[in-house]
Amino acid sequence: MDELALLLQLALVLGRLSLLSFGGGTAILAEMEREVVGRGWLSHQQFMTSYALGQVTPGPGTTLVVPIGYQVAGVPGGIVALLAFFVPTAIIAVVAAAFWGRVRDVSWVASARGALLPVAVGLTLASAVSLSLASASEPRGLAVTAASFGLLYRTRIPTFVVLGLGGVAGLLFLAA
Amino acid sequence: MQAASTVETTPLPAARAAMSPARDTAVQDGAVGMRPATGSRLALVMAWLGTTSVGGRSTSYLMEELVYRRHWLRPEDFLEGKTLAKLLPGPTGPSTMVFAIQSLYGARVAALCLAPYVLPGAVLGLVLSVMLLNGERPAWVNSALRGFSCAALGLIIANSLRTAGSIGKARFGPLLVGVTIVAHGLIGIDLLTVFLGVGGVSLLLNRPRRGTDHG
Repeated sequence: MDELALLLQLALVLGRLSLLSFGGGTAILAEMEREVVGRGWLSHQQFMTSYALGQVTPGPGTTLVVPIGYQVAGVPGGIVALLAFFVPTAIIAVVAAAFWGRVRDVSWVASARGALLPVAVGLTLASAVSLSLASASEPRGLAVTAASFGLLYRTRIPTFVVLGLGGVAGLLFLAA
Repeated sequence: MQAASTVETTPLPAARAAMSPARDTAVQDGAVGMRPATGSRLALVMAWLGTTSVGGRSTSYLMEELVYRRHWLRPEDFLEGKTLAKLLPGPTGPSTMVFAIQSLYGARVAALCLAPYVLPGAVLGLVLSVMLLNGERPAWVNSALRGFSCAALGLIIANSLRTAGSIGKARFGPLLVGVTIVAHGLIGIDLLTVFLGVGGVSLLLNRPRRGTDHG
């Protein structure tokens, strides 16, 4: 596949995922992993590394699309992934914000807000289930995951510190 | 951040204040409802947030800065924008930012603030990708990245469980959540099918009822 076709395909895949990501970026992680791993663009490990990079860089966590795009098609891939993922939905947000004042109290809009919430929550939890199943092969790795989860869920230690500790644990216990 | 904390503020336009009596009161008491003096100052604050909001929970940083530190927005105004952002497709952080800025300076400035908010992290992500993900790596880098990935999975699970408390008052909410998890997370039915199927059923179950809802 030539580079232009690959970039176009990357833009279409990530653009479609972005337009389907109701309830926040975490809701589409499982689908994103299926797309990029299923197409042979990344391994599961590479996908999770991209997610981790998205979390330690500032700004929205969904900038994970940049390392994904980079691994698919180099620097142009990273740029195309960023544009495809953020621009269409940013346009929608700007247009919706301009009109929100007129429709906020319409009954079906208020109903839709409540009705779509369980789906968004379910998709987010489904991502956690799906990615956990894909990672459940290595006991020491699972121990690092469990420890990170405990720290993040039960304490107020900053996310980047916990991810950094994960990196240190990898050096100590997950030597390749 | 120190310099930005002394930013000058101006009252909201009269038209905006007239739309919201509560905000009008807030403007009078000087506690909230002020806005930055210029759009470019606002863009600088967004650039600062885009450079420092590490950890993936960018809306928390936004709320801290716009609501609690600078008092440019009331918490309820911010949360309404965040709720709406979750209803729209796309990442929540940038959309929440658009709603917040739109209420202060209009849609055009909100659109312009997207770049300083998103680009710093994206550029850093690209630089780190070139440094860490390019071709052959030393074994210790691979080990660190594996540990990093395992910790990231812990983060995904923690964030997912946190969202479980926000189902709200939707009818059959827990059942709809369960069906979505099984369909998408376990069986692997694609996102669009699940969203249209379960979302459609939920909309039907939670449609406005005549005589009980306002509209």
